[in-house]
Amino acid sequence: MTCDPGVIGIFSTLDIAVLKPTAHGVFTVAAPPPHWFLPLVADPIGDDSLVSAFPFLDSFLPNARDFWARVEAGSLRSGTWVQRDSPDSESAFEATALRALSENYLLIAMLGEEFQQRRSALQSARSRGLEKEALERRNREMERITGMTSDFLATMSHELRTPLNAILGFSALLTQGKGGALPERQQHFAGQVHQAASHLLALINDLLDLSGMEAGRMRLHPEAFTLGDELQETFSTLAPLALQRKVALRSDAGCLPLPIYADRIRFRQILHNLLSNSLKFTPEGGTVSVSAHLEGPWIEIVISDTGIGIPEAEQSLIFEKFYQVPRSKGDPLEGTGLGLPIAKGLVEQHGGKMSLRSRLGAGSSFTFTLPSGIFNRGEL
Amino acid sequence: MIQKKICMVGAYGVGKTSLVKRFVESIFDERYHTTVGVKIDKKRLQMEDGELTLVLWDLAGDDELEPLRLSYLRGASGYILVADGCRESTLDIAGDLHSRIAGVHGALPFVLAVNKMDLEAEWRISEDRLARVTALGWPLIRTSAKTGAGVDQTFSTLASLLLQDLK
Ligand SMILES: Nc1nc2c(ncn2[C@@H]2O[C@H](COP(=O)(O)OP(=O)(O)OP(=O)(O)O)[C@@H](O)[C@H]2O)c(=O)[nH]1
Ligand SMILES: [Mg+2]
Repeated sequence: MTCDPGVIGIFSTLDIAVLKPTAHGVFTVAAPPPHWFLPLVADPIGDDSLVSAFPFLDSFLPNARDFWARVEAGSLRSGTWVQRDSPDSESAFEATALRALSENYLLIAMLGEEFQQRRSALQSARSRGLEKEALERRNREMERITGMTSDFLATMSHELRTPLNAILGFSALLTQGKGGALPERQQHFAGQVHQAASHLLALINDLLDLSGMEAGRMRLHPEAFTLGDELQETFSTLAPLALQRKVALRSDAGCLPLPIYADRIRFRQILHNLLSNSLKFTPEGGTVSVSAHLEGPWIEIVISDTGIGIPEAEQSLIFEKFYQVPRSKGDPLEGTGLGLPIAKGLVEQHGGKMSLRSRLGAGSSFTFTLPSGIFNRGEL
Repeated sequence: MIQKKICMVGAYGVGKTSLVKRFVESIFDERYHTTVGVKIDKKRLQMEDGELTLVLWDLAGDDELEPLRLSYLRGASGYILVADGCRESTLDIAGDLHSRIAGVHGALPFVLAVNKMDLEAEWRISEDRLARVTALGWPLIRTSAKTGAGVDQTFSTLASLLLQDLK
């Protein structure tokens, strides 16, 4: 082997083998090669011995010869290849075809630290990519299942309502004695049937609302109105319940003209659910009151009562589906346990927020926000 | 003895390295160890009319960080396009790589392996889409480097395509 003294000094400090192609298909070593090179490559160094040591060069040597023939000066890099040195260790290499001062060189470098850094950067970027895609897949699957459950609920609810309406209608006729007068006891029984069926219908309607919201199928039809318009209406429907429980229903006169931009029927439902909940949990002689004020583009409505308050441990549960506040024995189970979750869901469907503040013995207040329509009518 | 270079190409993480490992060493590793550059393996096949050595070039996955170097395919007799059945985008990438390769190296024999068949419940490539690919005349094989399903078939299908080319 012959060495070119001019480049010895430069290359002996790098982990690079420097070869020069000769006319008759062999290569000479142009500088003292790195320690790993000679054990790998058999003498004489030619295409065969290079390719058997580095199979990658099988494709690169033809590229290199094209390059040497084509250009005056410059270099062509092969790109990286990896070889296994032992079952659990790999080395990375790169070759360069170089043409300088009318001379051709083939450089073979073992890649060190820098390669390891690039490797670990790629490894973490790609691993993150794979994990992200797997996560998105799982989320979509969850959404699909939730959607299926909601669809199922919606169809079932429709199916249940038809026979239920028949039960409601006919039991009403029976209690009213429309098919001939019934003995008092039987009339009472028919009344019980009617009451239970009404409860069931309310439950089904609530389920429909919830599944509609969960499946993203709820359509809102917002319009502009004032708080007073709807409050008076709701107060008069709830008056019998308030009277029965001996609880006063009040509102701040000042808040009645405040504007709301929301789905009117859904707003009535929110008010109704919150107010009837408060009425139920306020002892005789107490008060349930409504106040409101504008807060930026929002109207903030507060419903507070002088009730028994909600223990802190239960405050986060109260908006959960089917959660029923534990009550004393013998108290009839009213409501569906869905009123509060539905009210909260409806508020959120409008882009608003619902929160609860309560202290044991000091009453509770539910605060929710809805668009006032003053700044952002276009957004809904 | 006939020796043929074939390349494994496709998006990152689709299982190119795992398919080669399964085929050459009959093992599977759940851990992901991304390939940088290229790694070369050999496998001898006994064909009807003699022995064939496949030189398998396992190329790094194609992505923005490291686009596929088409020069690695120089001298290749064919390639295996790999897509991950769980990631629809990898089929688009396979289609894109296929036309880029054909643009530089001409029409070469290839096989499309849609991998990770063991996760078929999580597959996101519709039957419709696969049917359209088959309708194009692409040889499509569902594989799993994990269970080994379809792996030998993929390589031997390509091998016989190469030998057909020889005749
Ligand atoms: N379940 C399952 N996982 C697989 C299969 N094939 C590969 N994997 C996993 O998928 C991940 C990526 O596999 P690789 O073989 O490294 O993919 P690659 O295409 O070589 O990736 P790059 O080298 O980054 O381009 C690893 O975690 C493998 O264990 C398969 O058939 N089934
Ligand atoms: Mg790989």
